[in-house]
Amino acid sequence: MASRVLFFVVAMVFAAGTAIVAQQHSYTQEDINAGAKLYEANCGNCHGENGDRIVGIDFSKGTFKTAKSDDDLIRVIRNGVPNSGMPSSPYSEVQANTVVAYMRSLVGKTGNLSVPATASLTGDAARGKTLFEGKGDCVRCHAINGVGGTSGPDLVPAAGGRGGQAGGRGGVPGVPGAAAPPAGGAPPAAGAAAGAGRGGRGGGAPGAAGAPRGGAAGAPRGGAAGAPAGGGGARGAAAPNPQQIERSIVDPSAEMAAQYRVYQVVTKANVTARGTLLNQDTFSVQMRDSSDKLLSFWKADLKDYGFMPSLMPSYKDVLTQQEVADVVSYLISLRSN
Amino acid sequence: MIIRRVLLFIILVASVAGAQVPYDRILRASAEPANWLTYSGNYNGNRYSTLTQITTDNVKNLELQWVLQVQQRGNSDKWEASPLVVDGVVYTVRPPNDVVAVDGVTGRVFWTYNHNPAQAARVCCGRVNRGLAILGTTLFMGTIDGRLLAINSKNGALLWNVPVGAPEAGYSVTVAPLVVKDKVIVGPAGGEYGIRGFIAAYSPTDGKELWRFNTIPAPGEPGSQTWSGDAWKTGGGSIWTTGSYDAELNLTYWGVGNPGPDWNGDGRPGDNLYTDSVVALDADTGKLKWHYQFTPHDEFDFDATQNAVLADIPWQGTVRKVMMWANRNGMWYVLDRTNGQFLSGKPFTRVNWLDGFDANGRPKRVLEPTADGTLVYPNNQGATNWYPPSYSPRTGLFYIPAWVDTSSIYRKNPGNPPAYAEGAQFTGIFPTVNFGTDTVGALAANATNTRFTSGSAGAVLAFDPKTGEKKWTFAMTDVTDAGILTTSANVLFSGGREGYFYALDARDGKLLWKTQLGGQIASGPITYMASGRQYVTVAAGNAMFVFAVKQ
Repeated sequence: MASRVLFFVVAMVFAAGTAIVAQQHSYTQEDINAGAKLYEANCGNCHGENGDRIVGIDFSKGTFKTAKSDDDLIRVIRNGVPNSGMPSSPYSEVQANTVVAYMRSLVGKTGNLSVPATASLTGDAARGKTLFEGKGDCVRCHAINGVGGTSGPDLVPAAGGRGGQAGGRGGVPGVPGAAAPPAGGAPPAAGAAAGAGRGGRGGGAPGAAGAPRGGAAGAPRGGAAGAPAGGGGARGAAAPNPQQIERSIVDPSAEMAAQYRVYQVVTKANVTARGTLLNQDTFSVQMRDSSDKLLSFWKADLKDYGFMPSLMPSYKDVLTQQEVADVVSYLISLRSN
Repeated sequence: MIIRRVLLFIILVASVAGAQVPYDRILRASAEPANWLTYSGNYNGNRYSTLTQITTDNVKNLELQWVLQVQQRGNSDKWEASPLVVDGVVYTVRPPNDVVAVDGVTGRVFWTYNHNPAQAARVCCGRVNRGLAILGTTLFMGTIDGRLLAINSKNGALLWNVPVGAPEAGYSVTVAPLVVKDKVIVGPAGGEYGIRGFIAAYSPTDGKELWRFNTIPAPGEPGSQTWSGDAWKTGGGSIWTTGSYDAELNLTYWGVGNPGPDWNGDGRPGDNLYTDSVVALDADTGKLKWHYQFTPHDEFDFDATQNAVLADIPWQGTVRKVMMWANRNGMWYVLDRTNGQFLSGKPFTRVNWLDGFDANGRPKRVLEPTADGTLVYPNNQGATNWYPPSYSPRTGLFYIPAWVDTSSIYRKNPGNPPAYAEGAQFTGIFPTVNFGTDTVGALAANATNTRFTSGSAGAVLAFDPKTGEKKWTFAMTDVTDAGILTTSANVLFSGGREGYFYALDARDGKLLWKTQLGGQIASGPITYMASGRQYVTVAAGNAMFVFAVKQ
């Protein structure tokens, strides 16, 4: 499932006529800092803080429409692209070079994921296997190489292929394209909005309840939280990292990208469908069910619709930190085999 | 009877002489609803039509009549133009700056005029154009490379082409011009490039500039005390939505854009007039009669670039000449348009940047960007924006296309505003833009929408301006950049980013009809009549779609 999603993402990138361009030049921190200022002043308004706001272009993945090299990027920055929204700029070659330096520094930027404390513990794969099959009872739901339960996703699909690590339901966040799910809660900005926004609707009196002084509601640098989408991409084509696997074990219900959550609709005729939400609008929802059927419903025909909580239980209080590290090591060892 | 006579007249004119639009026809545009003679359909800016062939009963039978497609489209282009309709001929602008004359019944093209903008053109937010103006047989179009063009409406021939502002310094013209009497009025966009904005009137015969009102006063000019040092030279104050006009007062009303730089005001202490203001100008001289500033010393990019909607409504016992204004800053206002007196200001969505108004209607601002970031409602794109609202004299309701409960986090380096460089953006640190409770990439044109919540993000809101009461909400899952059209048959048309074009009952907001057009709607629908049939049209994605009731 996850690997299919991966393939889809990769296919989309190429289908869109874009290309992933690797960095050629090497840059100093001074270049990056200088470029950041110019980027903030001139580029971010359209391209976004993380360089991913324009369809088909994503600086955080090194994805561009026409540029094939850093020199191309400098040319595009200075001259613009005819008949497109990309204007020319008054930058010198040196200045444009610093902007490229900054754009390149965006690649792999992962936002402000909080790293679980245990990630630094060294796990023991053999002990992890024992825990996986014994105390953790993970095999009840998850299969390894086709052996085990089916209610959870196969962690190593039998029919080969790598990268299948725990996608789908309750799966591992951080796979490509997934908005990196914050471990300890919603992104600060979103969280503030969630708390304050609902109450405000309808009322909305000026300066009314809820964080009249911005920033008050926790870490105000919310920007970074929105960032992670980019982080995945090329990098994410590898399986999730240990921190991500760990998080999926101890905090499986943390909000993750919609495509890794289970969406359920119940029609007025009491037919239930579950799967991945692909799109929605005011009047309809589109999803892919567990047998990979593409489904679409008018909301007017539905009794109920929405995301389901993850079926995966949290192991936060079941396994010790060391035991979690062991299981993580075990799962990673499967991948390298 | 009158309608029949007008129809007969139309048929004769269309077949014999082509389009003739003297000023008098524009002035009385509401009396000939078959046509759409100016950006908002009339000088009141209310986007209200008295055509009644499409009703709340038969609107469900609308069917597609024809489609006009863009031939060349850049990635960030949006089709924002409102068409004009003159005696059965539809004139519009395909992005970026291609004028096209189309038969309103068949959709077949009479002629096109292609303007290739200079590569020096700089636009912050896409190569857009909001439409044309017409006077006599001349069409007027602003271009993204800062020019004003006059084109013969019969054959698409260029008559003249004059500069409005220098494109290499960030001046562009995206607004649909406004013709008043014998003048064509426009102003430049470019608020993200440190331009010095203005509103200027040009001669329709040769493009000669006749008057100019500087939206950023030079030292010594009225309002200059709200600036310090040289900040006025790069003070912004762009123009990108068409003004309204009250012939009785001979005043034309224009909304002015944000100050430059957008998000750090430390280099421009003061209120920064006339940014984020409505200015009332004498239409003959361009002299300022009055102004009202919605957002003094703005650091949130709250351009006042919305339609000034004019109406005469009962207000606390007497009928007053008012102006309704739904502002990007999340507040909607009622002002006395004879003198600019503040009558009311109320939030139409969640707003936290002000704590009410003083006795003169000046907002008490409580937030500013900080080094660590300040959470502000509404978000930087605004609780609404340039897309036009509507006012129906029939229902007495004011309809606002809104982004509901969105927020941004604004950061700045205190005391360290950005430096100006000609042609480079001059903004400060761009804010985050948050939609409701999550941060999906809804700004992307083709993004799928897999929000976590089922809460609405966009809406059509209906308010009673007399009481300030919200009458109803039509909620959309995604945000909206679609304008609103109402008719005296109580039909309201709008759309949104999801690509639906829909009709609501203007009285209660109930959905009457919808169709999926497959591209985001970033324009205002209009309606017209040709060969005795009422049409309604809207642009979505790469194309303009035209509907009529199935026969």
